[in-house]
Amino acid sequence: MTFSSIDFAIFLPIVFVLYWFVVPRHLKLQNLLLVIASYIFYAWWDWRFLGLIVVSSTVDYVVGVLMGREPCGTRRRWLLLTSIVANLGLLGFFKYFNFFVDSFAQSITILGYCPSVRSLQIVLPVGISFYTFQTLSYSIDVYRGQIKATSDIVAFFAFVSFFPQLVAGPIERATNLLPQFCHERVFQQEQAIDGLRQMLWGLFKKMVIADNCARYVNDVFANHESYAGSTLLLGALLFSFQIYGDFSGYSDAAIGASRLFGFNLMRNFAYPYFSRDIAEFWRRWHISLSTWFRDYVYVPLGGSQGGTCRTIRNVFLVFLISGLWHGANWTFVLWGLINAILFLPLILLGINRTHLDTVAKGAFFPPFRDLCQIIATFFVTTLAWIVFRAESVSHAIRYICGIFDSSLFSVPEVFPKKLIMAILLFVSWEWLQRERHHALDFRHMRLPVGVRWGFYYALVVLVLAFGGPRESFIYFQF
Amino acid sequence: MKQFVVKLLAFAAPLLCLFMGLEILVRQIPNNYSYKRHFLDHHCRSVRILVLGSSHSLYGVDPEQFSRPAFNAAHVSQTLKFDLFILDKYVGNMPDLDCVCLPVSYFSITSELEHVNEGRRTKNYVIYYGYREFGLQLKDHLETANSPVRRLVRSVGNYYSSGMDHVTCSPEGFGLSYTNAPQLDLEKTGIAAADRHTNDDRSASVANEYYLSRIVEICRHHGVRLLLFTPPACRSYHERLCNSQLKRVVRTCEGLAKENEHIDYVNLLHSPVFAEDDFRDADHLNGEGAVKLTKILDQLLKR
Repeated sequence: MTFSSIDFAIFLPIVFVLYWFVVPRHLKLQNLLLVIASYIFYAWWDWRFLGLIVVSSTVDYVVGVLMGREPCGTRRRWLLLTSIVANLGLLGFFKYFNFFVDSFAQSITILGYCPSVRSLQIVLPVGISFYTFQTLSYSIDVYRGQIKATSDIVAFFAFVSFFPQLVAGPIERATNLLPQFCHERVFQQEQAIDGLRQMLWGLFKKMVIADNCARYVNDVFANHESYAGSTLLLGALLFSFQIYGDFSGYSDAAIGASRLFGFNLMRNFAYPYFSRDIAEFWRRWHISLSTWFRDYVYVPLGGSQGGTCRTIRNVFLVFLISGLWHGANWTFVLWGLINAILFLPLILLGINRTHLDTVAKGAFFPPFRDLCQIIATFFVTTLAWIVFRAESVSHAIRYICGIFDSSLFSVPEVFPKKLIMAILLFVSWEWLQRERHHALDFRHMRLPVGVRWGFYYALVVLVLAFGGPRESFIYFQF
Repeated sequence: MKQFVVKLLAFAAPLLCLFMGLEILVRQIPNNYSYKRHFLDHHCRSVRILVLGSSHSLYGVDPEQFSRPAFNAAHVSQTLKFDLFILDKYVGNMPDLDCVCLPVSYFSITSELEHVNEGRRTKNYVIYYGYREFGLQLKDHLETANSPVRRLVRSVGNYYSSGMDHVTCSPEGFGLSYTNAPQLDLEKTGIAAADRHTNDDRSASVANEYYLSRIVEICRHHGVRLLLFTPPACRSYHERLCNSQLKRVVRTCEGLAKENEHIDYVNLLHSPVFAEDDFRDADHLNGEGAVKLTKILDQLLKR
């Protein structure tokens, strides 16, 4: 069940009513209800893979409990290793088995051998990359002593499977989310209303922006040979908005839904297309994953402590792994590599932490220099997205070559005027709200009820009336 | 908390009313499903030939061309499961039924309506034919959950202001949309359709073969002849088909025809009788092509 489905529109109020009215102030029962609701939510896609979540949760729960009994020593390290092997083993088998087998077979073929290798028909379980990383973070944090192991099995299972963020994040840290399952939640009207607003904005981004972009993007990427360079560029730009609308829309809806139940999830997107360099972009895009890799891969590798060469090596490793995390395809590895290369000049010049604050804070327009930097960052990001979206590396190369052609200066064959207008309005609105937690955060404004409700109704009507053909959320495949 | 719920209900109530109103109004607009259901409920006693299947027979078999009273109960993307459902539901109401014509296309054995892009059509069988099955989703019961609201509002406006309904078939159920429609690019549509219809995941095969065997049983039980045919298609389509998938279809049908006296099978996929002019696109016949195909089927039934 997706957030934009009618099923979810029924499911959410039922869980909400049961949670606050049937089992209020009863922590254990509330957590149990969330586990059951989350499993139903997941089973709606494919009940067969529920077992994987149970296995992953059980392994990390047991590992956590056992680690809690061992204050230090080799045993703790073995327990951590067990968790890592179990989680990455599941992920590796379901997500990468065929990829590695096929890649191995291809590389052997280049050497002149003809191996008879058969890949398996493996279905990728929805959200496996997300919940695996979440449970793994728990074991690592317990090992590091950053969090105490929980003995509350229901709270732990609820933490792993919490339905708003189960299938596409944000990838929560045990240090943030698990304690929330262990303390009584109190209903706060302001928080719930803001959560609904954030959900509404998320659905708008997904259904109006992303799904409408998808219609053109799918056509342009599928038939790129027959389109002029200008159309291909437009297709790539639209994909930038599609993936942003799609993924940040899902995150907004997830965070908003969680707030209805009294939970605060971490922020996952912070207006990334207003970034002034690629380092800032990665501090604002898919924050939960970027910080995961920072804390569990980059820092343990030495981070930026061992000199420039070591920093560069670590950055490249993180981006390559991050690329592979997105999918078992060389396009994702190349996409990671491109981002690492874009990062390189910033490290060499020591300016990768220049832009830590919101652009043009307190001002209406950005300074000219910032504007140029924003546009430049957006364009290089868009070029990288082409590789991300392409079916194969050769497809990406042909697509990019097609853009840089004399036809780049022709009028695009495909020009969805209404959609482009909608995107411009959307970007303008996000620009105005860029200092807020999310674009419908009105808590600082004192607007009359009529105006606010009118605005919400207008958004609902836009979502219902102009929602594009329902596309699956892109990040579900990861 | 109470205040929040009251506010939320107050906000949602007008939207819910609008949705319910739209759902009711949309269901009143006649369409091919409601028309065919009405025909089968009330006028099917005289039918002697029943045509089932997907768009290949909806646009490819014109009941008027048969020498006996016939009715075309095919729908776009109708799979064997729904062919079985319609046959099972109405065969008892057709005492004079002699024959069932069922296309078994390249994709028939390997596709399931719920798992292809046409999954939204399941709701038509649920709403208009009263189809019930364990595992149906909520959206399968609602018009408003399957189409953009903008399109539904336009449909309602068109129907209630100028009477434009969604019935696009003849009184005998033959699909008229392709009859005089201009021909599409056969090369392009052939590539796209072959790609769309080729399915590596053979998990649906077992279920579809079961549905086919049930159709065979029902026909035998009611003393009805079953004419299976693989419909004609253009070169651009059939030369791109996966050999093993196609072989499976042909082998299944030939096997059934061999084992059962009341079954005939004819493979018209490469039939030279059909020229490129007979097609609307690479795998659908136009009006003239439909006349040719129906006459061939009629001749076979006279044997």
